[in-house]
Formats: sequence, C-alpha cells, structure tokens
Amino acid sequence: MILKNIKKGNIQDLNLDHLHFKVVNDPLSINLINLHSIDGIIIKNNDLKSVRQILNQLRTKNDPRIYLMPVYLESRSLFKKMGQEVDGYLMEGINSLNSSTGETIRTRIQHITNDVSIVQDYNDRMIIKTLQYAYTRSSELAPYRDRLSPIGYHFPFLSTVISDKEISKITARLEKYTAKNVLSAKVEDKVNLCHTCHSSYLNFHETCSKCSSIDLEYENLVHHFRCAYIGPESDFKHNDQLICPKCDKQLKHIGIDYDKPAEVATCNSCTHTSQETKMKARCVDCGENNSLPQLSTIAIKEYELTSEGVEWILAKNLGKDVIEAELKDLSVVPPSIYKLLIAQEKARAANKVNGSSFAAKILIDDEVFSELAEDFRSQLKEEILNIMKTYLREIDILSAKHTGEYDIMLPDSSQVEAFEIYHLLLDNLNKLLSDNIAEQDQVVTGDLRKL
Amino acid sequence: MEILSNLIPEFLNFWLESGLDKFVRVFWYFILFELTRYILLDYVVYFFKSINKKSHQKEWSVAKARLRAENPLLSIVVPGKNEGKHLFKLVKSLNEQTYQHFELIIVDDGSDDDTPIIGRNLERLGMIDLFLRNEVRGGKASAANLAVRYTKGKYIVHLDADCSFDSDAIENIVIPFYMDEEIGAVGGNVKVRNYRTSLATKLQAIEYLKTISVGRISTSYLGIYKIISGAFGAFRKDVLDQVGYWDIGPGLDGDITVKIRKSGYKTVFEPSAICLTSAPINFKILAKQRLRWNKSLVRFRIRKHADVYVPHANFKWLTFFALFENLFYNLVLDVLWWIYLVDLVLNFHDQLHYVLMMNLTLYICTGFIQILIIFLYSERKKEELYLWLFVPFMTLYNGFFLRYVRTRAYLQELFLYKSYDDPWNPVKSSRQAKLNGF
Repeated sequence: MILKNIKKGNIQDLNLDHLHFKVVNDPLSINLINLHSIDGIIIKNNDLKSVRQILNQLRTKNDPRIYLMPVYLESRSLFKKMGQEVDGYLMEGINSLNSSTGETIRTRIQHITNDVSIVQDYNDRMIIKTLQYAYTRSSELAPYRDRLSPIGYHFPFLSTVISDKEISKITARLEKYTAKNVLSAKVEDKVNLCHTCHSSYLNFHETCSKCSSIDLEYENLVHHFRCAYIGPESDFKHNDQLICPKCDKQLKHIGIDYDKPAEVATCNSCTHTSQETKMKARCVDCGENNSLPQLSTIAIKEYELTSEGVEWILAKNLGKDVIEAELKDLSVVPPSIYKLLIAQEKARAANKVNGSSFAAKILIDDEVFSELAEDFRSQLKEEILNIMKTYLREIDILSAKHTGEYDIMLPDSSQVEAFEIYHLLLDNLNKLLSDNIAEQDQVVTGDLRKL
Repeated sequence: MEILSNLIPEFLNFWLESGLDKFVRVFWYFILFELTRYILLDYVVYFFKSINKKSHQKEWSVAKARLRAENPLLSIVVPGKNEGKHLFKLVKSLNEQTYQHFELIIVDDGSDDDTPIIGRNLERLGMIDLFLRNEVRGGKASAANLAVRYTKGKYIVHLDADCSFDSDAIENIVIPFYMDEEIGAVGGNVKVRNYRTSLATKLQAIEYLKTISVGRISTSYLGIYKIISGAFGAFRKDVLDQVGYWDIGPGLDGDITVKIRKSGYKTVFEPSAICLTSAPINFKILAKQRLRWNKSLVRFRIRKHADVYVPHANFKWLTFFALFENLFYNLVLDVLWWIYLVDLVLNFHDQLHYVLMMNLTLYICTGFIQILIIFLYSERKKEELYLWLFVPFMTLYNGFFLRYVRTRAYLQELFLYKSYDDPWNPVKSSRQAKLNGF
C-alpha cells in the first residue's frame, strides 16, 4: 500500500498516520524541501553513490532535527548494504515508517538541544554529530566493509560527511573521545594505508632486494649429507628424481640422505640471488610502491557511547571540551616566550658574579620525517620530546619552532654541565633516529653557546 | 746453587769424554730427523730462494701487472657458525684491501646467536654482497659449498670470519695464479694476532711462524705443500668445480688440497699474503683443537687418500712425497719418539740427567736457530722479536704437550674412529661419512 502511494517524480509526499514524509530520488531535491516540516525522508534510488550524496546533503545541515532526521530506503538490497546509515526500508506488509523505533528516534532527537556550530573544527563537528546520531539511534557505531571507501570501511554517518582524504585521520580523533571515556571501543580490524594517498587498496609483494623487481623465483636449498654438496633443488632435479650433481648418488630419503635447510629467491630481472627480499605494497589507487615502514596502520574499531558519553552529548558546553582536548603540551614554550625568557636570562647572567647560563640549539634533518608514514612520524616526534625531557633538568626551558628545530635554555649551569646535557641530547637523539632511519647516521646537529 | 755449579762442569766433562760416537748414539733421533728437516732443509731453501730473489721479484711484478690488467672478479667466501660478532671487523678489514674487485659471500651455518641479524643488516647496508643462512646446521663443508655455489668470480678466496688481513693480502694470494697456469690453489700465511694474550698464544705464535710461515715456504719450494689453511686460501673456481668442492671434515682444508694435487694441479704457499687469526688462549682449548686437527691426518692422509701411496695411472711422486713427509714426520716419528724414550731409559738410565740436560740444550739451541730463519723471512721483524724470549718453552710445548695430544689423537682415530663423533660436524653428516668410509 505504501509503495503504491509513492508517485513518480523528483519529490513526492507521503502521509502516514500523523507523519509526513518526502520521497526523493536525487541529491538536489533535498535543497528544495522544507525539511523542518517533515518527519522523515524516503530515498527512492537504488544507486549507493546517489543515496550517499542525498545523505550528505541532509547530514551536513546545522539543525539537529534535520541532520538526525530518520531516513528510509525503498530498496531492501541497498538497505542490507548500508546497515546503520539509514533507519529502515519500505516493503509491502512491513511498515517501518511509524514503528516504535522511528518514534524513539524522533523523541531522542528532541533531547539534542546543544548547538554544534560552535565547534570550530569541521571534522570535530562531524564527529559530535555522529555521536548524536549514535545516541538517537541507540546503537553503536559499527563500521562495515566497503570497497568504495579508501580505508576499506564505512562508518555510519561519519563517512558520509567526511571527505575520503580525511577519513583515515578521523580514527585518531575518535581515540581522543575514547581517552575521555566518551566512547568505548572494540578493535574490528587493522588496515594498512598508502603513505601518499591513504588508500587501503594495496597489493603486497616481495621484491628483489637489489632491483626491486617482483619477478622472483623461490627454490629450496638441498644439502646432500654424504658429500656436503648444497645447492638449489634444480641442481638435483633429474626427471622425477633428485640426483647429486657432485657424487651422482640418488637422494632418496629426506632426513637420512638430505635435508632442505633454507630457501633462496632468484630475481629473473637482474639474476641476483638472495634470501633477503623486500616486502613492498603497491597502492592500486595512486601507484606508489610503499615500503613497509612507510605504510600507516590504523585500527578500525566499533565505538559505543558510554553513559558518560551520553551525558556529554546532551550537555550544553560541547565546544569548550573539544578546545580543551586540543590544548598543546605546556612543557614546550612557544618561541616568542622563549625569546623573552632568553633576554631576561641574559640580563640576569650579566649581573651575576658566579655561575653562567647556556643556550643550545638542536636541529634535526627534515628528511628524517619526510619519508615516514604519519603515525610513525608522530610517534617519532613524541619520542624526540620524551628524550629531551628525560635529559633536561627542571630548571631548563625547552622551545620548539617546529619538529626539526629546538631551542633549549640551560640556566645556572657550569660549562661542563651544559656540555654534558647538550651531548647527551645529541647522542641520544642521533641514536634514536639512526635506529629508526637506517640509511643515515648523523641527522641531529646543533650548537651550544654561553649567554 | 752449589749443586748446579758442580753439575754444569760435570755435564760438560761427561759429554767431552763421551765423544762423537756416543753423542750420535744417544741423539740419533734429533740428528737424523729434526736437525735435517727443521734446520738444514729450511736454511738450504732459504739459500736457494735468496739466490733467485731477483728473478722471483721480476716474475712477481709481471704477474701483478697481468692481474691488474685483467682485474678478475674474486669471490670471497666466509662460511661459519656464530661468527656474527666478527663480521663488521672483517668487512672493514676487506675494505682496506689494495684489490677491490671482489664480491663477499657469507654463509651462516645455523647460528643460534645474533649472526643472522648482523649479517642481514650488513647485506642491507651493501657491506656484504650476499648473506645466506642455513636454518639447519649442515657443517663447515656444506656452508663453504653453498657459498661457492653462488659465486660469480674467477677465483674463490676462502676465509675464516675471525681473521684480519694485511692490506695487500687478497691481491698477493691471487698473484701466484698469474705466475704459473698449473697452480690450482694458493695458501695464505696465517699468523697469530693475539700472541701477547697468554703463554699458550705466545707458543702458538712461534709454532705458526715455524710450521706455517717458514715450514710451508720450504715445502712449497720443494713442491710438496699439502695443506691450504681454511683460514686463508685461494682457489681457481674451475678447479674447485672439477674436484667437487669441500667434503665433510674435520680436516677439510687438508683434504681439498690433496684432492687438487691429485687432479694434477700445483698447490703453493704465498708468504706475503698475510692473515692474522686468534689462537686458543689456553692449553685446554688448544688441546681440543689439536685433537681434531690431528685426527684428520689418520682419517684423510691414511684412509681416504691411501691411493696416493700406491702406484697407479695417476700416481704423482710429488703428491706421494707431500703426504709421505706429513705422515712420516707426524705419525711415524711420533711412535718412534716413544721408542726413543724407552731406548734412553733402558740403555742410559744411569746417565739420564746428562742426557736430558743435553736434550734440553740441543732443542733450545735449535729453537733459536729456527727463530733466526723466521726473523730472516719475516716482514714483522720488530714485533716478532718479542717472541724470542719464549723460545726455551717451545721444547716442552713441542716435545711433550703437542706430542702427547698428537699421540692421543692418532690412537683415538686409528682404533676408535673418534673424528666421526666430533660435534664439530652435525651427526647426520658424520653418520653418512662413516657409512661411506670418507
């Protein structure tokens, strides 16, 4: 009966009991509807991409009654694919439009009274909207496998409103909410992403350690105990038998006559033989040949709002909390303040009879970071800061212009003390970086001067 | 003190009164075998080499120029187990070589330490051309054979990982190939690096100088050089292909030298190709090493290559003499020494103290005469002067310690086939070697 009521055309009305729905079939229709006057949208389109575009139009609005509005599909098969992204589908004999679930959603939408537009950052705003969506649907945020998504997974609501390029970074932001106990998380999968385009569509293969060709042939080595000859299995192959090329004896029994102690790979392009092959991941989307350390790995998790999360979602001061989460590490002073402190210390040192103060500069080669995957890069940055904090005293002041340039003030220090701290920093940072970046061994430099 | 001041004139008086006949009767063993072989022969060879020095130098220069003009690829192979800690130093030592056209192949024979990590890292950094690892240990021979299987060079240089080299060692070890086309393999001059560590290493240093540096110059000059040390030796790749590489050890270095000689090629010793190795630092470890080395004399020189002593189509006098000299001066004279001791005890028991004193005097004097020729040949004269102080200890070291170890090894191998139980080889290989009589 419901299906019969849907007439052809771009936008149609559908009234059921006291509820009023609009039936749409293309993304542009959304902007032609007075969305405040309806109770839900029915999408009459079987194309996944178009449906997502319609959802994007709806979910990016600023009014919670609109962006959280119930959405239904006409197609059952598409509903199966999209799962939590919509609230049901239409079918003869089944009426999900005025079900109790739909009623709960509408009631819960009324609970959302705070204004997300005060959150400056777009991505954070979209995350909060997603959490509100999860609240109104009383469900967890369960990502589902999706070949069209660059990370291979589609998050309900979130993936519809965030660009493909940004989606890989969103997981890191969601972690902040987990840390704040707004969300609980359960790991569903881990995906590797290309370091240039963040796509998960990767083709893994072993390559020649010399010429990077993928045309490798693997062979077992065979060791003939009797005469100590050892070589690839092809040296021994003679029709269906293994005959030793050195002593012409037949090898009959593995473990008694011979064994296979290892495997070697021979490159058909450059003839190099080796047991050391390089694993590479070619990105199907952009063609980049990633080495394994270049790949960034993200955990795909199923998130659920905690009771604290529900409280937070319904609270009025959403924006403030987000800003707090963004606060920078206070132990590293900004360059402008460092400049002031140095000037003060210079003046102070000039008036002092005993004691001296020093200023050190530590420079890290930019190339160190450029080739690393983002996750690995931020880990490395954190470790650099940790090392600095370990060796600096409480009275020392650290400032960073960027990740490759650090200024350190060492007040009230003897020359020996200052020299020791400076060298400890240089040595340990060099060690850390040369452990992580094998090709270079002297990437940290700097200088130390008396104030 | 008083006893000693009386004993010395008595001792001198005794031997002056005894006359030459009695002296020869008592010291026949020394005069017949040791004086001739270890003093006279070495000095005669030194004399002839000195005469031919200029022409040899000329030949050497021509060969060196030929080598440099051809600039062949050498394959340096280093098989070993748990040698990771030596690899970086080895690579550094090889980087200093005057001859640089070589590939470096290292085979890790089932190490259970950090060797695979170190080796793979060096390979990744381009310091090693190929690092191969057998997950299951196969023994030294199979590790060396695996390395050779993947070589591309014209000549194979076999090294031990714990060695270091004079900067011209690699070049010098291949030059002889350009002096005589019949040369199939060249042995390097192995010296003891840690000679200052302990008395054991000092005595080994003197022994190496005597038996390797000088002894092998003499045997090589006479064409009866029979062992290319595993620590440093060079082989023609085509010759190795012909003889089927290394067979199961222990003693595989001596074995392959005989195989090459039997195939009709010359083997020579090159004293200027100098390699330094670490010798065992105490007598216990040394005894273990020598037991293994000496057992191989019975296993290979007597059993496996018994055909060398029998006339046949491929019989070669020089190979016969090479092995016979080895067998005679080690096994036969070792047995004879014990007979000689019995002879002394039975026939001269009342004058034994004079005999022993004279024996000691003779061997100490011989020691100094021998080290003098070492000094004449040596390129490290100043450093090796230090060892002169320890020459008197060599009488006990050679006469008793090494002789005891040798006798024990020969008996164990002759009657009990003990080398097949040596953990130096994996059981699977030793079982097959024993079964097939290798």
